[in-house]
Amino acid sequence: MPVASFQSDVYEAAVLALAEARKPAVILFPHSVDTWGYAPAVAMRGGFGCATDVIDVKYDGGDLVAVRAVYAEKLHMEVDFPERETVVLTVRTNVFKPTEADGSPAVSEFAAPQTQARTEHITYIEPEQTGDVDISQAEYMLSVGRGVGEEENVEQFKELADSLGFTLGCSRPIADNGWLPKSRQVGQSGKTVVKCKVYVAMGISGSVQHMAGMKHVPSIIAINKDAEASIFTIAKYGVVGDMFEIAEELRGHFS
Amino acid sequence: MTGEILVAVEHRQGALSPASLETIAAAIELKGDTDRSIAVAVIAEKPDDFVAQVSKAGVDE
Repeated sequence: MPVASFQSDVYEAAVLALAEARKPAVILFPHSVDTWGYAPAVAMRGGFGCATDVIDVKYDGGDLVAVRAVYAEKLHMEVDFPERETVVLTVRTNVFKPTEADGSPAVSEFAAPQTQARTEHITYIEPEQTGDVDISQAEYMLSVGRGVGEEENVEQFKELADSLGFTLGCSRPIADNGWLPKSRQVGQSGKTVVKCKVYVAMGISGSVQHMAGMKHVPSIIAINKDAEASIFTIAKYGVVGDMFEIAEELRGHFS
Repeated sequence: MTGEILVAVEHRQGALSPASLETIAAAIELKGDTDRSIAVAVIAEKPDDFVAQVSKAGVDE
């Protein structure tokens, strides 16, 4: 008995019925406020393995392995599910780039079981938008990291980004310090720059978490004083140098 | 190998959530590791409204 709006009980019963009928190896859900309410229940009632908020999932020698970020995103933990025929995973948002290519899958109907919802949907209240920009839609990004040094240095890179027609982004330490809004943070605990074509990383060492949000960009230009910085492993172009000096060169070139 | 990859997508106020498309992308990446098929489930009063949106390359059903 599917309903027009989300009902946890109805969705739970529908997915359990699907799992019973199809015996999937994996059930993937978006990690959202809706699935928090029913994905673990599906796993518990079905006797399935379960991991929430996963940032990666893969098969390793035939065994399913899910990756979660733990200890305030400092560590990645691999989770396996021995002897579980079905595994429920909720997938963190802003990690996987949405697929744009269309396909022609087969379409079939499945009659969901009759379920009496225990809750009643009344209305939607959308959260107030606090971000000043949606970096997930930006095509050209210039991001700054710890190399920017001080808060008062950020503005000159904002001006540089504006002059180049780029959107200013940042790594987590910059957002954590409050030097730029969280809405401009790139990475696992920020946003994935889904539409980005050119990404200039200035003074960003390239943590796994940051790179998860931008490693797919076709043209990555990394500028860092440390020639061993991880960001160079995914950069198409790399400049080992001082980000302030490079910024000055760019200003002189494009002004 | 047996058992498909089932993706349960979500929608709100008639629109598929962006996170649903990301989850389908995760399934497609996972499919690359194996020979399992991908089925996407839309739980809705009128699921036909969402068929085109979830019909991505790599999705089997």
